[in-house]
Amino acid sequence: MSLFSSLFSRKKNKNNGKPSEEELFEQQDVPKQYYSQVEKNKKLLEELFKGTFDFKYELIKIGGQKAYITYLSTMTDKNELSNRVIQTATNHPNDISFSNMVEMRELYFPSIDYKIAENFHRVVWGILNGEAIIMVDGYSEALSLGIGMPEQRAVSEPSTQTIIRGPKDGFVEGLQVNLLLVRKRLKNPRLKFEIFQMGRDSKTNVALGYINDIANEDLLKEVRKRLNQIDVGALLDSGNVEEFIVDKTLTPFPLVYNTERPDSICGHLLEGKMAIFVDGSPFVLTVPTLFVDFFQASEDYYQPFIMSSFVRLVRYSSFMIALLFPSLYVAISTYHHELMPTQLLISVQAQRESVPFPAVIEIMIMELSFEVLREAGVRMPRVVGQTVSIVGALVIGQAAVEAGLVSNVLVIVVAFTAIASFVSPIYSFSIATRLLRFVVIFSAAFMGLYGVLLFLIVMVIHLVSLRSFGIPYLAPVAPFQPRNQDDVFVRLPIWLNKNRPSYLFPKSPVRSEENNQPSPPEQPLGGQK
Amino acid sequence: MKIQHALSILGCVVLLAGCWDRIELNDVSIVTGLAVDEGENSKYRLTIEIVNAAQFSKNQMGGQATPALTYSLEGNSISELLHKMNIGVTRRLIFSHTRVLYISEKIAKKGILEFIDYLDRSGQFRNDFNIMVTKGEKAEAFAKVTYPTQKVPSLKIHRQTQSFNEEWGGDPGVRLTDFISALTSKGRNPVSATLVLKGDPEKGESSENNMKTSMDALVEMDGMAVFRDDQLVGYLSVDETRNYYWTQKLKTTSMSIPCSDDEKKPEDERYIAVTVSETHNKLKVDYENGKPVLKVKINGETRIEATQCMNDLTKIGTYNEFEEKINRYVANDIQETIKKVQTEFGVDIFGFGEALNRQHHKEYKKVEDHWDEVFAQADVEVDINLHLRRSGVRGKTFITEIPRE
Repeated sequence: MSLFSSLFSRKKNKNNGKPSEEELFEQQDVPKQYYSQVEKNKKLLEELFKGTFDFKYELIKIGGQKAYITYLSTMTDKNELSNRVIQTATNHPNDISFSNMVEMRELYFPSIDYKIAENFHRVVWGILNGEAIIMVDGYSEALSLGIGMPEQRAVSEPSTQTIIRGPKDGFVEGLQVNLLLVRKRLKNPRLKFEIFQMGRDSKTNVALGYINDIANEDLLKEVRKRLNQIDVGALLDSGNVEEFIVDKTLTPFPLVYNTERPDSICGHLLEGKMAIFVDGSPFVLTVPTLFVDFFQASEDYYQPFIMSSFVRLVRYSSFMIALLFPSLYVAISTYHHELMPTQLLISVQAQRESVPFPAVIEIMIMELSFEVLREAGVRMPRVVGQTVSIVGALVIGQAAVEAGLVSNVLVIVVAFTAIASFVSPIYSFSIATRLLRFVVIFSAAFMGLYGVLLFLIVMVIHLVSLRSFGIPYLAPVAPFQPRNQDDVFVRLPIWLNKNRPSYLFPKSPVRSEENNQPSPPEQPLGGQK
Repeated sequence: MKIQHALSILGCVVLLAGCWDRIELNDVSIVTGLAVDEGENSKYRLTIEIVNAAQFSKNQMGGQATPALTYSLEGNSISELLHKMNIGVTRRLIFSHTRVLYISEKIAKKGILEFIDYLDRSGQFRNDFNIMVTKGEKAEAFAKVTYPTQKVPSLKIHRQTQSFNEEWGGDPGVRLTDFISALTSKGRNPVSATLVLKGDPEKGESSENNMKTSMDALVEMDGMAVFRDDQLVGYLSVDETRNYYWTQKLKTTSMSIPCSDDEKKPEDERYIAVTVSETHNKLKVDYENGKPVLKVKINGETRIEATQCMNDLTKIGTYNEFEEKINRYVANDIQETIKKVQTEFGVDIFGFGEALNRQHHKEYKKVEDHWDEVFAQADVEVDINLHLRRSGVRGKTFITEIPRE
């Protein structure tokens, strides 16, 4: 057990030994001193970036002084650089004088975003971020011009959470665009984005978004604390952040919600949750996360509430089907023959006549081959997709049955289970049931329905023990909160949903005071009849 | 340490509790019927009826085969025989889908208590299978007669009794629990349905029996058997069974009632056909002048299904007249059946004793031990209150409009 605990429990009293950016550069032997002799600086830079082809510099004259423009050609927009920086600088008359870099920037490049790099670390940092650094001889600081090329995918429809009705834009890899997509929807000065830099090697930008007058202060502190604790080599996706900030890692259930949909993020922010954007990842996290979040698709709020409620109930039942259907088959067909209606029992028995394996082996064969198919389907190049699906469907579906390796009814069980497992709107939740399914199949194979029941008991105990940022995972079902039931199993009409969920302790618990129930006009239109 | 303890307990749960009753579906044979006959050399001859499931799959292997097969053994107790069945059959037997218990007349006359106990006790049987007394042929013959739509004989009987019970009430609807509760109650004696085999039992055994539209052998419902405690004392016909069931749980039935009250030859008589539904039955025993009077009260609704009479169905008077006729007819029928049971068998199969126990507990305690004798002597009052509500989608019948000389 000590192995487990050392592997999985977060070190609680870590004395925040995370090195700062400066320290990091120092560890990597980057000098800090910026010299007013540009040649010296240029040398140092050349030394630092030795061996990479894209480090470029141009020698020009600014205000009669020798100046260098240094940049990474892969990171900067070449048009911007030559038109707005180099050309402007060389076209200006040489006799203009300025006392410092700010003044120079106002004279030469008034429209370009800038930073003053007062030491050498900042210079390197600027270059790495795709900025053009102008170092002028005789000045003790450099000017960093933001002309980085935002090379990224255009905003497109999310590929993991498609909907029929509702906004079709999805997050992309660029942090700025993602923040824009949220800001565009919530025109509210109290919508705050705090920026963090993480990753010793990657220096990834991570933004924490929340609405100041809704989100709970203590919760916010906790989220900030956990984000600050992250000390990692590189963050390549929000999944990396997720693993650092969850309350418990030894669980199959996702404790952090992730989505590609800006509208879904806005909905969560408005409930009082916090969003974590990671530069380079189209998946944005929200915390705290509840079990019921994974049964709510954003489309639920765009379709009539009766239909959404029905669909939501379908989702809950498909969760149970995806989890339990194969194990119920195993349990009933090997322990509890009396539970099946006679006719069904006879026809199931008839199909199993020629099957040489016990039911549990039979179902493991099918479930495993389905897992293989599914994994292949995700990983394979798109071009061979059809081959795999044809072979998979034919081999597994038909040939296995015809060869008498598995029974027809089992194919139905496995297929239905597979389809049911795809119903969950969030993929990370549906893969949780995938793993648990095998556990419960074994449990059923050993102990029948008794085993299924034991499994469910253990699972529920585990679920109620989970917390996401201190909020009970099963809230508002366990602990049961009658006031928060308006958006759990069914969705009440939006005009009835006046309160923010109280389990998140929002600063302002009320969404709207007024009674907005729509009704026909009191006076009939078109005068008297 | 605590977690280690918890793990070891969990391990025990998994390793010690699991698997002992695990049995794969292709290692069992589903028993659907049991038939008990008198043995030649021992007490019983037990026949089991097993489903041949392979016959029910879409892609049959090995061509046409029998849908069900039977095997018989002789011995002195049913439980022993059931465990010994593997002398002749390959797989372990499961009894949870047993639908019918056929008991031959001879065994029923001797008493069936001795093996009913096993069925009730073992826990392998559901308590909702039908108990059937077989008339004439040996009980095992009944478990062998196949039927085209319901190929397994016992499943056919099970479905048939259910339909007959719900549609007309000709089956007393007796399951194991009913039988046992009637057996243990002093104020009631058990009954069971009876079966009779029409045709040639030899030919019925072959599935070729299913090839004909008019079958060579067919198992039919034949009313019910009356028991005194656990011994068969006599039979009631299908009509009488309906009348009996009317005092119990009948929901719907139908009958034909003569139009006129005067006695005519049946072929000259005209009839109205009515169906009865929504009936509520109540049994009571009242003491009048120190003598017990058995009272049956039935409420319900009737509907005219067809009429051969000339009466004008658009008039309310006709309805009242018919209603009265129906009530008289039914009351008469039920009264006769009760009288027959009183005189011929002298056993209370209706549960009047139980009703008396509920209503006049003290009086009942006095007569409890000889209730059947008191029952046999008691007067019967039948109060029928059926309301004629509808007459189908027509008012006047067209029969009245056909010109006649």
